[in-house]
Amino acid sequence: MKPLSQKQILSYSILLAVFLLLLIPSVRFLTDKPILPGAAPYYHLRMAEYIKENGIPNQDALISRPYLLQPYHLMMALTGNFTNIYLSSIVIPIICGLASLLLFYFILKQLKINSFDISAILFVLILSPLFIFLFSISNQYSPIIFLILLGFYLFIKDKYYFIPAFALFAIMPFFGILPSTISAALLLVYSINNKHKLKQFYTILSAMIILILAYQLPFIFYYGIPQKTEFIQSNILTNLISDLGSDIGFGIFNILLSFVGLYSVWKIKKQITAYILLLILLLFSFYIPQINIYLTFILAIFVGIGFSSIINMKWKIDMIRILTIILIICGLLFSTLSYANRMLNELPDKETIQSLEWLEENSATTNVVFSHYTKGDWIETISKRQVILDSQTDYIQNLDAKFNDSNAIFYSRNLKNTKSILGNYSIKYIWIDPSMKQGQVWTKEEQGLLFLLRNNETFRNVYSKDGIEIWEILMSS
Amino acid sequence: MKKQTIVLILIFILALGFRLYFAFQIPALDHEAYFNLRQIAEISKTGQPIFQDPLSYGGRTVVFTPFFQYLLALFNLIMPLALTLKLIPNILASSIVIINYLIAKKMTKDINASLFCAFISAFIPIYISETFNSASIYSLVIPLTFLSIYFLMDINKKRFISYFLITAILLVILHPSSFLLIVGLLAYLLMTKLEYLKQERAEIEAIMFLTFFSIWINFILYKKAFLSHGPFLIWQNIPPEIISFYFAHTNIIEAVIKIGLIPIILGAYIIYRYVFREKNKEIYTLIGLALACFFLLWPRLLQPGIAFMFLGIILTILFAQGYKLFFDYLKKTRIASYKNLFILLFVIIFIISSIIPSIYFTNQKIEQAPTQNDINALLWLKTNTNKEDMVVASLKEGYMITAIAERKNLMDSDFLLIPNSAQRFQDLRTIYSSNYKTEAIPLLNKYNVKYILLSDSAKSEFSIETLRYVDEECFKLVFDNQTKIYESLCKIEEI
Repeated sequence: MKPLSQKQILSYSILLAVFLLLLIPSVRFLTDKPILPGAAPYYHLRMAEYIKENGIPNQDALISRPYLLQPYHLMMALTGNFTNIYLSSIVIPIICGLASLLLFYFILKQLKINSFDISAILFVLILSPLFIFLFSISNQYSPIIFLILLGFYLFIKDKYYFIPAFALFAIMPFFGILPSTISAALLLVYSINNKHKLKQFYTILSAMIILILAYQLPFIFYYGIPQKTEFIQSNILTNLISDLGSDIGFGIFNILLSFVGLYSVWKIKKQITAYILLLILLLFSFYIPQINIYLTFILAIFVGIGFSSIINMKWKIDMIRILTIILIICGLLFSTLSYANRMLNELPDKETIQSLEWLEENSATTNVVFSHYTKGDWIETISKRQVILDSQTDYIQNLDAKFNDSNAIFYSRNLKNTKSILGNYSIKYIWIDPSMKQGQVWTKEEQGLLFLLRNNETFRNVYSKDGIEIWEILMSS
Repeated sequence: MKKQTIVLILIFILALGFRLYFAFQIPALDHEAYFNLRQIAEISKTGQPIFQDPLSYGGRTVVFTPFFQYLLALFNLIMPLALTLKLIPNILASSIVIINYLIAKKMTKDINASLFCAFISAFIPIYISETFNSASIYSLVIPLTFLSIYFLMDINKKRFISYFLITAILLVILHPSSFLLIVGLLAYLLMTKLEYLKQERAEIEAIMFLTFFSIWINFILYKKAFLSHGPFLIWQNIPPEIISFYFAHTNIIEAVIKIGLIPIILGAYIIYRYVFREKNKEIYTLIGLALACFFLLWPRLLQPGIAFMFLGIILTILFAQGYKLFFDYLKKTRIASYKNLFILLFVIIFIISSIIPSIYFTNQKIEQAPTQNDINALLWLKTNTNKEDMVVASLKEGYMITAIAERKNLMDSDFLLIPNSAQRFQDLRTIYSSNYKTEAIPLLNKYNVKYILLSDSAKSEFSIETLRYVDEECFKLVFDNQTKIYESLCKIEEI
């Protein structure tokens, strides 16, 4: 078989990436579902809209939580001057994805990785669930990844590109401490293997430290480190493996192939520092799952090399070789499609949006709406109403107390208690969807609040359509 | 026909005869066999197994691969279902005698040792008691696992590659316990690497393929369960109150009783000898599997019963090597002429430590099996109750409710994908052991339970003699023949 030319590798990769990145938005659009799946995209949308109209806030307008500017929100707000912000939250990740892919290709070329390995790396990267998450669903990480890749490419290119590379890494602290740390670690590993870059690395590191101290530290000093919430339960394996339900996990075959890749690379060149970095990041990723996002591209290199070394291995039995390669491709595709399928069916659906729009039209702007915390972002963004909790739990004041009170409202059958808590938070509406009744909150009919809702002196059903219910609270606060 | 072939056939017939003798002593099957019975009956009737079960837990999705059930359904075309479930699994399980002979012969090149190994394989107490009357999938999984290992030992022969792939792929499709073989083979590769033994490319390739295949297939088959339970799928969503029953702590005495003294002593000696002193690739295949069992058993990732079945067979095969080495050594000593005396000694120890425990455990299983009274009670339910009625029975009897009575059960021993299985089990326990009807009736109402089955099995499971809260006002005794059935009449409602 004739090997692919560099140009062909790049164009096929881009075509495959375009197809996969457009898959979730287009299928959701064609099936009449809101294009943005999940909760976080709605938070970003709301903040961008707020910034566009009112400038950068210090405090979240709809929930008691301080706000530290996320450049992604600023980016969306700025593009909102030329186009619809909703549209930009769909387009920005895709553009960042394609640009990141291009940059990654140039980085791999710069690192003198052979063409076959490059095509394998790009193939496994594009098929990874995390790539789809990063670049087809609105999230703050897509521009960060793009900037890290751009900065790294400029850093390794030659000394003439040092100043733009320096500028790019110097702004990293505005995106957060984690991307800054990971960028610094990445540059350190490269510089250790290329000693002449060490001086440049120290310059960048100094700038990063100064900016972290100047920008991030005062916020942490004032508000503290985000409280670790016990109620969002997860475990190490579920965080790591996308097939076990993680939104930001790796496919099982990616993990397996990465071991093969690590072994192959170790045999060729003992990159101890790179291994140590990878090991540390993997260990920390068990507790900070967001690290997986930054590991996507690093791991893809090992996965791709693992895959290509399996293909290029001297096989004794040709039948097993063919079967194994088919199996690996099927395995990689399985994780991708399984993840895509999950995202395609992810809430909100059309009915959810309709009910929230109804709530916006039929309630006062000062009303507080109570629901499960995972619905908070939708209520805030679509209904534009205050909630007790949303899924962005960092820095929410009295987080645990609010969570305990929410649980008391959900599960208590004592009307007096429930009324008292509802009154304390001035809750005017309760929003319930079918998923809450099917195990997310309640497992039985008439459990807790569902039983109390029968009391028509306290609760009035004002909306009931497609399994979604909105209850108005009649008592005075 | 060669002499050893005749002896081997006789050992096979003896093994099968022993199993069938006990299996046909009672008309019923073990409690857990009724899952297969129902699935096979459904396959025979409609050609499809039941994945959306309207009866189990009052309606649920069942996750399993129906290959074994299809195989038995094929036999059901030519013989009655009850006979199929008694006969075919026992034939399959007895085939281990032949497979162990082949492996032992390949390993020792000694016919006497291999035949003795085959003979011992026929009487591994745990393997017999777990498979003789339960139509257990392990009666096929275990022979298939060791057949794969046999083919792997000769993988350099071209046809053996295909045989290995076919048996191993079948195994992967058949049951998730194929992971044990995968882990065992990976441990084997590691050991050969550590011992600087030459690794055949064909075996590395075959094992690598099998690893990828197994992971992929299991992720596809159990995707829903993985998403629902995450890594806790290993413990099958078993309620915490009874998980210690399934994944119990174990000890060496239990192992000796369930596996047999001779295989344990000589098998363990061979493991020691070939791990620390000598090198032998074929033995490492088995040691790899033994290590997999041990390391999965230790952190309670594998049920002891299953681990002991595998370990029993591995140690029995390794016994053959021990037997050979022992008699080779004996030849060099002054007591070489007492060879027959030593054989007799082996046989006596074997009878005491393997055959007697085999008989004991099989009898124990027979005593625990459903009685004719239980079957009659279930048949009464089938003919005298409505199809929609839910019947509460002990956990063990859950499958019997759906298979014989054809009614909904509150619970059975398949917990996968069941939400709040712990709560449900707690409710089941309360229904049987409560002193107050005010506690029991709301639970009966909660699950719409219409009938309560009180059998000897339920009495022993919940340590009760009778339902203490039963009175004439709310419960009617509708069937009484040692096994009792109560109809629940009352409803408690909040006003």
